[in-house]
Amino acid sequence: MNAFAELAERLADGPEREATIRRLRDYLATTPDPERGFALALLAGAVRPPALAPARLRDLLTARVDPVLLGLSEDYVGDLAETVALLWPGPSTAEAATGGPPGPAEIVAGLAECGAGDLPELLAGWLDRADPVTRRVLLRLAGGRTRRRALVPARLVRAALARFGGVSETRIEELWHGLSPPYAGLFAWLEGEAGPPRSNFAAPYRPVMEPLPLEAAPSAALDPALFAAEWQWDGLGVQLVVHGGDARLYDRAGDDISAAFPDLLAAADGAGTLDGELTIRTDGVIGPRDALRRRLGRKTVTARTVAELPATIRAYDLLFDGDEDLRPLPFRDRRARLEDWLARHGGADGRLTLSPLLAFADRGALDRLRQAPPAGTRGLVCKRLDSTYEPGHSPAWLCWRRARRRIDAVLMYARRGQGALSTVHADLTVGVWRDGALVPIGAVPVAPDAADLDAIDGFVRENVIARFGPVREVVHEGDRGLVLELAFDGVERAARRRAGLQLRGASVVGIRPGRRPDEAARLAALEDLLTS
Amino acid sequence: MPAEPLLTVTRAGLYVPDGDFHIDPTRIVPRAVITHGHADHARAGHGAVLATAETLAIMEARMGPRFAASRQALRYGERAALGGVSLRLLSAGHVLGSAQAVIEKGGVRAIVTGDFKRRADPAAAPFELVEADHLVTEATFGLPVFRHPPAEGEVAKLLQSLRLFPARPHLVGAYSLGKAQRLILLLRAAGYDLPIYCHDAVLKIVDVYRRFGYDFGSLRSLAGATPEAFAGAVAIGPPERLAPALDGRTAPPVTVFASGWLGLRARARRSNVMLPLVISDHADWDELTRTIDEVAPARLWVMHGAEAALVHHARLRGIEAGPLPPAIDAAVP
Ligand SMILES: [Zn+2]
Repeated sequence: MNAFAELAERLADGPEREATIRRLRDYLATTPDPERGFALALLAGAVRPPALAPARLRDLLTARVDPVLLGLSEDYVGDLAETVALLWPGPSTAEAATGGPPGPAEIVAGLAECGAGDLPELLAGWLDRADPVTRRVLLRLAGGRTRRRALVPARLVRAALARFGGVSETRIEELWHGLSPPYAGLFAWLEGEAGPPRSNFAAPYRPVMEPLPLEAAPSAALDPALFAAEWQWDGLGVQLVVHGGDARLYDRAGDDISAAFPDLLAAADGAGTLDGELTIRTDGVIGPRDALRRRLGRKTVTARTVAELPATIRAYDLLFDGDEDLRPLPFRDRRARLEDWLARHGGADGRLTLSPLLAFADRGALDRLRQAPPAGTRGLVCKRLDSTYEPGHSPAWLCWRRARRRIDAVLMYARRGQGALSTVHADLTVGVWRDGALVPIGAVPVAPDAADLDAIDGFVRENVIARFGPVREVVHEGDRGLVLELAFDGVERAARRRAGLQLRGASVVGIRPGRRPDEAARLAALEDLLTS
Repeated sequence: MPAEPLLTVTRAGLYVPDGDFHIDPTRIVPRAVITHGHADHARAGHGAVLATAETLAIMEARMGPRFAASRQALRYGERAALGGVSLRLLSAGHVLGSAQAVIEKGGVRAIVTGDFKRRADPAAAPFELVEADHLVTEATFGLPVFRHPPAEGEVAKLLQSLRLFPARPHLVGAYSLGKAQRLILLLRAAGYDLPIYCHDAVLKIVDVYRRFGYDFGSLRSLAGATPEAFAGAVAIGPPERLAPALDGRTAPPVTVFASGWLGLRARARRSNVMLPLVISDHADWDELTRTIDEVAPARLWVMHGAEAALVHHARLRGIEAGPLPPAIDAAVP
């Protein structure tokens, strides 16, 4: 048994927070340095291997496996990476692997030195020495449709570290982003052998405070004497930190996204730590989220991209003013400091602006506001005026979103889902009517707990009219087909889509029994909902 | 191959015309050879039933003493003359009493494996291999993606979980015939000697195993136990009946399920158990293909599962292979 791979596999199952933390803590307590540190880096997604294209992955397997058996297997399993992990002609146990399966240190070192072109060969060498569980973990790290950055939510990794060392999670979160694998200084500190490690960053990330949905505290007294209200902006939650001659932009999880937004790093001319929402100012033709996606995830950004898709931050909290920690202050006071800070350091080019507070008389007024939020917002956040800044989801902040909208659409294409849903058709493309024809409005996932999952899958399997690779086209005519009910947050322009728009936050609620496809929605109804 | 085949297929399943009997028939027939006691192979109501003494005992435990009008027990390797054919039962390694049916006539031999596995199982006799002209194999895991890990390693995961979560009961979902007894004996072999709590469906079958000389150490009924007794204990039974048996009286249990299907990640995740164990009483791909290669039949029929890959494997080796042919019903009930 390869302890690291076994751990990664168990944790991938882990819907249960407590069990995940306990397994991690146990692994950290029983694994020596530097192995545990590199394992931690892989689990938490601190190592970013180059992506392996599915076609390269398939090439690796076709060179080694009978094509008929490969075809039958992939068709049955439904997921290429999983098929490769199971079908690879390697040892069946870790003990049988020559030289043992690659461990975390070897994996981190290999991935760090490896370019995209060398990845297939590197991976093949490892797979030859790996048992099926290790193969699966390697493939999740390096490629396939299931590739993700972190094998385990980073929050749980930090919680386990906190438990392991008997320190607070906040303390771990603050340090974590300034440290690098294998975290020898961190472990020395957690085991009581040294003082806290020094962060690599002069401008460190601070764990963020986030709202809970209002449903979590339905009886909250939303009274203007107790609460402030502001829009919940529809962008990317960020933290801008300017300190010690360094400026950095982090996303809400604490990942450093500075490289993609050089324009924002220069937006502030004073030291401090700000929370805000990053949005892209657009001309209304590109959907704001589409534009955001185009800027995110880039290693470098050209001046042209910056000019075409300018980024702005709506600031809503100030955690540090220079070196002064404002988090113990109540929201009321932090807000005053934020306004003052922006007036002094916010610059004049409009990149860094204040998220305004909204005047309201009572709960009823808030309800009316959140039902008709302006473009670029999703609803409201109500914040207790006396609340200090507490990292994590806090009931002192409550978000009250516009109710989700619903429409009926017709199933047109389906492919298998990912992860737990890779055996069923859970990735569905649906359409609505325009001029008597169905226009696809995008792929919509089915929630894993959707009651109709198996019924939808059954319909797909029995009504295929064409196949395009992994995609199945199903019958969709006026009187024959499957009508699905969708829920979604909003509609935005998408110039490159045939429908000219796309749904935001859409999911399949279930089958609409007894509905004929020609009773489904018209595109015009969605156009009426365009928010930009 | 002779012109008259030893085996044909009727609507009730595999049939031996020269001996006038079915093997594991899916409908009630006058004469049946039963390979083992699982419900999809052993049914009540046949006229005469021939099986190992262990299988007959299991059938009686599950269906009552009148499960058939008459019964005949055959030891592994012992021959019985049935009509114009000779029949032997050889161990299939699947569960207690499980057998392959070996039918011979005029120098031609056919084998019906029933459910089988090749790897060691402390709760079943080892698989016996003979060559044959005609092989009928099961194919539950007849795809190369199914390669079961060693069961000992899977049980080690259960023991590790008991150490990690010492206060939580571990509910191990397993079929009450075969898998449950194998798990108990694997736990005992790994040094776990505390009492194990069993659902009554498991205990009923355990009694049969005990009569044939198996020792399971201390087992207790799930029904009578106090909530305190379950802290950190192992409970084994049919998965859907375990959690209700605890009735919310204990710390949140660690749910465990043992099945060959859990080798597929998606299956493991959809099973919603905390600890999936890949333990199967069926042959995996390597065992299936090895068996085909070693039995070296001229003709292969593949049944119970995924046929296409095994048929492909066999044809590449020059074997006339296919799924079970359609029923040729006319003269046969
Ligand atoms: Zn069986």
